[in-house]
Amino acid sequence: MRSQTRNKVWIFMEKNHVTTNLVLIITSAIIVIPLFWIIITAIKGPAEIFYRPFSLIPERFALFSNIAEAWSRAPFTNYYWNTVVVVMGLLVVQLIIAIPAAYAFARLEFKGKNLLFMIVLVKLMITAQSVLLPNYLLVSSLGLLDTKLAIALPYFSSPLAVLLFRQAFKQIPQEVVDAAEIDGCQGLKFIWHIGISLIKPMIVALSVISIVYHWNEFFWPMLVTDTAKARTLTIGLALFGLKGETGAEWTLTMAITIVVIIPLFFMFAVFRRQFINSFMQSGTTG
Amino acid sequence: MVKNSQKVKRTKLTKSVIRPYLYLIPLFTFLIVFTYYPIARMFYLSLFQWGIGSKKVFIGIENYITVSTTPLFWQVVRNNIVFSFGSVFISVSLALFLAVLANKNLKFKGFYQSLLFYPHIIPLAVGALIWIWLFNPRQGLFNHLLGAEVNWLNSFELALPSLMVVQIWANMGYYFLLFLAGLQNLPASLYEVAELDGANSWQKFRHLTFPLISSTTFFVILLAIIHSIQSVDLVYLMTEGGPANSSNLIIYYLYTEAFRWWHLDIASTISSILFIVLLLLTALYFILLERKVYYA
Repeated sequence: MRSQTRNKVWIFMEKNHVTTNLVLIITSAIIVIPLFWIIITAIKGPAEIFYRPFSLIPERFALFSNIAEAWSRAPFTNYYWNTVVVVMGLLVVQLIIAIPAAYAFARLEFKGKNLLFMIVLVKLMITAQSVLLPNYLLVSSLGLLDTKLAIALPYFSSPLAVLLFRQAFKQIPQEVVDAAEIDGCQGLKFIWHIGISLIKPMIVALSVISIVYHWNEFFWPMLVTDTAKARTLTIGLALFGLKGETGAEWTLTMAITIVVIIPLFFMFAVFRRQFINSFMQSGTTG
Repeated sequence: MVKNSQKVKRTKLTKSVIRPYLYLIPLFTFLIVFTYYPIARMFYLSLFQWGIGSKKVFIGIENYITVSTTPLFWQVVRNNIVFSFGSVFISVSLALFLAVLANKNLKFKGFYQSLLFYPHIIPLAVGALIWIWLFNPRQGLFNHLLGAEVNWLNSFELALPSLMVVQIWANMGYYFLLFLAGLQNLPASLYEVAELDGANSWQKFRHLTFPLISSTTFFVILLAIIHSIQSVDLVYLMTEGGPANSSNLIIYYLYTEAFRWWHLDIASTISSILFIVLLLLTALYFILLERKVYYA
């Protein structure tokens, strides 16, 4: 009798994935704690940290005043602007450089094609961290330290972009290319008027990877910049956070953290499928 | 007339011969100037004794001997191995376990995916800040929940494990997604046969899932190792390698040699060694990725 009930419970749990859901809920909850704690800290008034550090419901909603206070202490407007300029400018340059090259690798015949493509692929295997020092020496000898250009320069040629776009260009049927050529549309004209719209999904995928990677990048931009003139948001926030010794400043730091990560979460919410697929393809590089 | 058409033909021909190269010029200009040239120069410079403003003296492999006889170098390498092994083992096995569990028709699968994956899309540097706050000895949530008063990031024993926790938190969800994608490609028919034979879930995992997904497992492990070598942001922001170098990792060590002490010759040497190790690892990663693409 008892074993029968136990069996029934077991079958119910199997059918409704009760155990599975339970394990996943608990793990997700643990992973979400830091995010949850950012929000709780960010909406607290700076003083409350001292007498009620672990309260879950803050006495007053101070998120906006915290953001305003932090904004007045450090040049976050500059940081934000620098980040947008670096990320967007870099993306445009990456596309301009990679699209014609990918087209050449995909649709044109020329001597040394395989060798040249190998040279591009090898760059895919060189991670940004292993070339910190050589790139720093170069940028510094060019007199470009503390500029936005220095942050972006090493990433202008993106092998991942070439790889993804080459794959996409290869899938365009030859008839489409021929038909366009009869109409006098070939080469760069073809790429601009027809090619780009045909490889659009890949352009979106690459853009997602590039934007997230460079929005988030910390160490390289930190190395080559010294002042708010060129520094990006991640660096500004990290330095602001490190300066904060007392708990009171943590409410400000966490408030700014929300401002920094909201664009990323917004992008993630809108392009969730696209995002996950892009990250599957990116692996080690941006 | 004939002459004219020949001329047109010739310009057309030269155009089609040159065109591909024209399309590649911008790419290769930046590739050479900002990747291959600096790397070649780094290897070249590692063979000299030099510093800011001092004259270069060729000394062959002496820098490599100096580095390999520095105890701190080996301590950092050891730390990095401990850090990589610990964080890779835990994050990859946890990701595999959760992916096998979640590989069903679950109602909230997308929801779980988002919750587990979000740490990977926020900057690691910001993740570091959040965890400094969570690890805060007096007002941090961690000590509060544990009822302890541990100074996590300032402890000789706990600094490195604390960094591992952050590394696992940041990447586990990404590996989870990779495993989930791998699992979705496995043939359902095999599992039906196994179920008819009365295999239980452990047997199915042990004899079907695990061998079938081994190529994914290999390449996730490799990716995780590469990620773990790259985690300089965490060290820089959370512990600065301390206390007493107990949490110093290779890229942070390189950073201090180069930009704190300005030992540029020694730093070039460490950088060259690191470059080769990372290149070998990533090359292996791409070979496995290629295999996966073609044979899976």
